[in-house]
Amino acid sequence: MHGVKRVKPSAEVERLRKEKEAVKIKEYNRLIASCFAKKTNSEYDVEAFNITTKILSQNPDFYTIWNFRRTILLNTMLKDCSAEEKQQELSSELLFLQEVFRLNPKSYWIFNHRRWCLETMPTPDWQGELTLVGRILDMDSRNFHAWDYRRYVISKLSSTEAGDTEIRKNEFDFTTTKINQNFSNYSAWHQRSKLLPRLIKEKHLNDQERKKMIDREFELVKSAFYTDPDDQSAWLYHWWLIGREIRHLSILGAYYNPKKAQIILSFDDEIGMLTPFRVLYKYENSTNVIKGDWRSVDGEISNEDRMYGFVWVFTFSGEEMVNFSELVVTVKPEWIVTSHPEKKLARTISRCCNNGKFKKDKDILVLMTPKDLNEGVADSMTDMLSDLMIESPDLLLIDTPERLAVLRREISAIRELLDLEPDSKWCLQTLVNLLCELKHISGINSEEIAEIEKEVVILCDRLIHIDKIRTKRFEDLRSKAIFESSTRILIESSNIPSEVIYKHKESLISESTQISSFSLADQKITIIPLPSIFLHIRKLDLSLNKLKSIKFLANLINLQEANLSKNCITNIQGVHGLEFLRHLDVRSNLIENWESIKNELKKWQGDKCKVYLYGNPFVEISNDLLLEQRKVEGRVEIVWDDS
Amino acid sequence: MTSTKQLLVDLHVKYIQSLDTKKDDLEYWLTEHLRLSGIYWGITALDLLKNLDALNKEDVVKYVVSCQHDNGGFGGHVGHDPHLTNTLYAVQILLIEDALDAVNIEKIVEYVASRQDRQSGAFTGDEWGEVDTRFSYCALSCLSLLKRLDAVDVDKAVEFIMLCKNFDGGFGSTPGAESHAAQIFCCVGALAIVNSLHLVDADLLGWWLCERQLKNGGLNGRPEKLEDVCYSWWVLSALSILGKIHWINKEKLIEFVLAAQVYTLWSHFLALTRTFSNAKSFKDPESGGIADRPGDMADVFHTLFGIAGLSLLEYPDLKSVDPVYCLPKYVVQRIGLAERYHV
Repeated sequence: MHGVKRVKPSAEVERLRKEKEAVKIKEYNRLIASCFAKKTNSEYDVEAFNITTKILSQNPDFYTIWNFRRTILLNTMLKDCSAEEKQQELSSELLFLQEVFRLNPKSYWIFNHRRWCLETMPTPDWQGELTLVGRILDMDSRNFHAWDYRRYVISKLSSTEAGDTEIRKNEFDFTTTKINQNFSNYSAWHQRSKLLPRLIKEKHLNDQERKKMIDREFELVKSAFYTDPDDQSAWLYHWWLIGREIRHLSILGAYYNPKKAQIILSFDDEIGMLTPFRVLYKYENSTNVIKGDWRSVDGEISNEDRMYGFVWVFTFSGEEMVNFSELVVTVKPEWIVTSHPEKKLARTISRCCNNGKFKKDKDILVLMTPKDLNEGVADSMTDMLSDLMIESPDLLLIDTPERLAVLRREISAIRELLDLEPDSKWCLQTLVNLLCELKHISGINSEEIAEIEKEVVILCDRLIHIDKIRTKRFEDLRSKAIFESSTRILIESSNIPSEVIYKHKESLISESTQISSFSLADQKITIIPLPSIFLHIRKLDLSLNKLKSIKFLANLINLQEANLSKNCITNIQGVHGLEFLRHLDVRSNLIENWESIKNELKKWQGDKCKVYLYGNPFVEISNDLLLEQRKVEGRVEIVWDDS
Repeated sequence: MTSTKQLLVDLHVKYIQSLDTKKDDLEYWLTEHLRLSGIYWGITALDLLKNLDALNKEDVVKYVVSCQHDNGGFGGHVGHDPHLTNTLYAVQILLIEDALDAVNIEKIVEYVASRQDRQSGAFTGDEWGEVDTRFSYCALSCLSLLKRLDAVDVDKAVEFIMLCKNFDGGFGSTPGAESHAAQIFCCVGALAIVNSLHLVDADLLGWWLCERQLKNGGLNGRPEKLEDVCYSWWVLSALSILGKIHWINKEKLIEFVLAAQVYTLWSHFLALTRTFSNAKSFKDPESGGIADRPGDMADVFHTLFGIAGLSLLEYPDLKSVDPVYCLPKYVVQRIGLAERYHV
């Protein structure tokens, strides 16, 4: 019951209404009873037809009656009659539909019946339907049933008449008219997003003409958001028009752990595995597949169909480790899905390491380096790229210099508007989007990237202040920008080629200068967008932030010391598999119960570890005696006081 | 009208109980085709309110069984034609009542599978051929609840849904149709069921969805439209499946839903003191239920989606709802289905 106002009638009015209503109910139920009697007995006669007319005039949502009406038409009126009679019968049906449409302009069933009539007619007047639906949209320019119907009529016109590009051109002009009547007509902008790429394709425009057409779009959007900077319709369309640079998935690191007979792969995205990655070893002249299991380190066991994660571990299932001359792991693009439909692995990737003479009793991680595949590399690469082109939503601007020019032009246009409307939220967040997009285009130097990241943080801070309803989203965006700029140094250091990373006693020593300690404290960050980047980190300081969860810690398989005090953490899920962890500081967070902590620490697999819990709500309200009873079996020591 | 800061649980329970007693309202008869769906909305709401036994299980199950046709599909009421949407409602009701064995499951599977157009992967609502992503959701949800997804071509079904994806990251009813929050729930829910959430542009769609919240705290279903309580479900469930429910303002939305509750102080008092035990004596139009927005008439549809929205927002003393199946979470767990959404 949408939009029916509540009114409290007086007792007398209510009594009279009830009396009147009782008569109506009796009459209505009599009609229904006789209709269902006819239906049950398959009596498809004129009388039954007239009954359906009466019922549907009152209740156009009664789908069973529409179905029955069509059955009657098919079995009686339209049976064994001439094309002319058929046409006439269904034309009067269309008139009836117009009447009931007035009762309810948003009924699915009315439009369904209309489609059926026209499709059953010998000579449907699609042009007439187009005029009719145009009138309906004049009354309510956002009625989505009407827009759906319009698209349907257009598709019929396209299949019956020549020159369907012309029809689409007319539709395109129709959306221009609608948008010019009211810039807020999101339905019309949507329709445009469907027509524009097709028109560009069908008209075989050359580069110049295509560019001109797109520039005209930018002009139209611009005049829309200059007219009303708060209207989201044009802004959303603008963001689509800009398009997105294709993002590629990459492997941050690949390692072999001889002691445990494991391979570790870390990606720069949360991926889902469709097909297990292939692991081969070479020994003398033979190449063999190694059997084993792939698991993501934070994979949910409950998800039986597919696991997701940033860091993946392959454990060999054979008890004894083979001696090999070379170990190769291969990942094909079609074996994985990423967190974003347009993010892809550009080509098949293989990583390998030579020589199987590592001492298995020592803690050693062997770096696996890129390997060129002998067969089919070039082919698979071109295949993937052409696939990407087709799948990309970005039908408008493919070429990078052109994109760069458009982005820079639009950024300066938005800056101009921002001078006039300094508090326009849509203006600000579009600028954030454009800047982030610019960052991803190749050819932008590191200084400019740093500038962009700085500005994005400032813009997000303003948005947090302006759009109070959506603060959390801007906090996430801001965190992402801060995270990306602060961790760039880690990406650079992980690219330094190092042959072997040794684990000595409890700490990792690498031949290169892997950064092992990292701090991102006191930055108000709410999320850790890319935890796999911390794979090598042994000492991490994330205190004084706004993190709600530490699940991401599962990816930090070399972590020894973590400071997560003064955040908004509610439980410690994610730590139980961290075998090297010795200090976990989660003081002054929002942990409200002991049970969740106990459950996580019960699964603890590592050596001695201290967990600092002081200053959490459940600790605050407990007395010392109670705390003393709260212990975890095994090697975990809980520290309750603020030491 | 006074406004309240509490969910009037007792009043809503009474309201749902009283629905089948309003036989002197013409509206009761005009909405007969929604009887089965009404029961789904009603008992799901009751269950979330921890009052499932407020309706008699035996009566409910008997009624649902009486709506099944020989071809396996269910009608909106006894004698009404079978339809895919009603078939899902029937399965959902029976699962809540833990009474799936009361019907012929194999027949249901057969009916649902027969609704797929094997060429396009789309589903038709009934034999008359209407195609809509709502029906894709109904079919996939239904079969997954019956653990019979093998009965249809899932890859094709996903392919069709993806044809309905739009420039804003949202989804429409058919290829080419405009994004709409309810349609987005159906498509995101369906993709979650068949493990294909990676096809959703979560950042773009999450952004579009959180922009549905208006200054008054309510959510609309499309840009530049009015707020409505039912979007507390359509928008929120989709955001929740994508792990972005925190992108809207929780407090303001709770306030909006609570303000759309229908009650008078007197009826509130009566419900609290349980003065009337007989629901039939309780026909005050201003007592119980949730409306589409403050000041309007209540109905059971908005009552469920208001309460389910509150449950997603972790409003106290409600059972948790599953954002994919729109069933109480424990029901989904009881049949052993995994959670297929983010936090």
